[in-house]
Amino acid sequence: MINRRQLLGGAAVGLGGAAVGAGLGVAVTNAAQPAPPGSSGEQTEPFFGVHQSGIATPAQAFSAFAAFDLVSDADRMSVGRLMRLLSDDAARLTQGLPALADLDEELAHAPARLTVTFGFGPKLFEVIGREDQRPPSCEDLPSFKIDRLQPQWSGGDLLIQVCGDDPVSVAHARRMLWKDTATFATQRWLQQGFLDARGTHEPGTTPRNLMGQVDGTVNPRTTGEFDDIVWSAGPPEWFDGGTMLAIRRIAMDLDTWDAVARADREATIGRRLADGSPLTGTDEFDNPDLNAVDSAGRPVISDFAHVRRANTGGSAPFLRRGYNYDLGIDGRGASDVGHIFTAYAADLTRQFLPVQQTLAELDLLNVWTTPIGSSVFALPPGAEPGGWVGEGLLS
Amino acid sequence: MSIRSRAVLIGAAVVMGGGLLVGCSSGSETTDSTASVTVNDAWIRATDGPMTGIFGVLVNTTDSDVTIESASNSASEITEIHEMVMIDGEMKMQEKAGGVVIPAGSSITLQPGGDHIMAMGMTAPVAPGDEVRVTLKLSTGQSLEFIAVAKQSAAGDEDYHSGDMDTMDGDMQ
Repeated sequence: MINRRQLLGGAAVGLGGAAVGAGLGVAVTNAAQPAPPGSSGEQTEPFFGVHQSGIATPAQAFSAFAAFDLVSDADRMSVGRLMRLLSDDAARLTQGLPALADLDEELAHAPARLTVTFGFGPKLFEVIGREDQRPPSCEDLPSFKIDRLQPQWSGGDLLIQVCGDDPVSVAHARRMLWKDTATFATQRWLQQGFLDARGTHEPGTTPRNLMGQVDGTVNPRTTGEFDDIVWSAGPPEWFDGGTMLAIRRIAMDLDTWDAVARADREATIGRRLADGSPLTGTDEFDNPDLNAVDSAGRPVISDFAHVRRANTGGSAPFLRRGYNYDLGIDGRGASDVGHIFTAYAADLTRQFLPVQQTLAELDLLNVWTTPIGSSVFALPPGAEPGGWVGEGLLS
Repeated sequence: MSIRSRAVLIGAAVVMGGGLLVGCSSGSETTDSTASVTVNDAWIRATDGPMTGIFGVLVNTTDSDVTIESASNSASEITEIHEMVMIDGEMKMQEKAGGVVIPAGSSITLQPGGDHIMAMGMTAPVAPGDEVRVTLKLSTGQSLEFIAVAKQSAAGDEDYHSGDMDTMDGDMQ
């Protein structure tokens, strides 16, 4: 006589717990899923789909962006093997299931909306001999006069973006993915970031950066906006459903920012600190009135305010899904704090570069912020069940 | 629906689950719903050495014990079924006499440090992400064929890292 529970339980004890839950869609034993029902730990985001998760996904509390350089003998076949392995790891881990050969399987059981998102740097297309398949804006950004880029925060052939609401789940996924990447590529940089903890604010609240500013008000939010702004339709054909990512590490000089009074801080950005509303409006989502003048005839939003310089006429030019970073005190006794800026767009050249150029020319915020890292990646479309991320390019 | 046929269906679903995750995901390719044993999450330790281990979860969907009597694989000349046993206070690997028994309606996990399939006399290096075909001969007279995906893993390689345990045959698992 076979008892269904015993059978499932037996399988779930080993590495196999993984596929049991995925295949049957039933609750398995406690040992396989210890995150208590109703907890944020048991919540999952899909891995498979038209688009990769971790982009339109409401931003989780923690992020780890890891960039890798492919080893010198890498080729299309080896990168394909790597992406199959990584996709399988991600498919399991995001659903709260241990990766294949995962020795720390208990660390996988509370995914807390874990997502894993993959990206390809410009050089990868050369390495795999498919330079003609490189999306047009997958190239290093031009240098800007405000840049003080450091190699240890810039470039990379492969990006693995891991986000989740639980830092232990994120750490485990990152380590598992790194172990499977180790024979194919070396880690170039790792940028770890955070937002508010899950449950601290109402869901959907625009986060604040470590300068205290509401950061991310102008963003695509509806499916239609994502289709218009974020998702590429190609060419190249394989990139249909993918997106481009510019990731820039922005150091903040909080120690001199501390000398700026609140009114001047609001003038710098053109928004109120209290609620993020433009100085010409009352609500965070009011459009700034760039023509408004005060009783003395001076612009309410100054010529060098961030919202004026970044303004593209109301609609979001790209998706920002940034994270704060805080490494404490640097070797010179100054705060090592900043923002991991991300711009996701169908075409960075058309959507991101014009804004970036305007801000680099003049933006009062530049006094206290310095770009120290810059990388560009093409994020392939999502994989369907049975497939893997990057299949359209690499197979 | 009898208990038995229900169990077989569950077993088949388990395999499908493993295979559905990703194209190369390991698992049984047997779609025959009468298969008495199914394999889930099969993997082989990547190696450029002379031998390596093959692991996974074997599920017996029948109401009688099934024994894995022998095995073969596409990457090595010799394939044995091994167990780890304590001999004079040391964990040693040895061929498992009589093969591995999967109890009726239950499953066993082949894993580093435990029972495993041993591939010896590798015909080529097995790189991470490679796929190796494995065939198990069962006491039912059936053969079970599946794909094991190669993964880099140091698990069970304790003697490599620990000088005072140099008698362990961990790197041979």
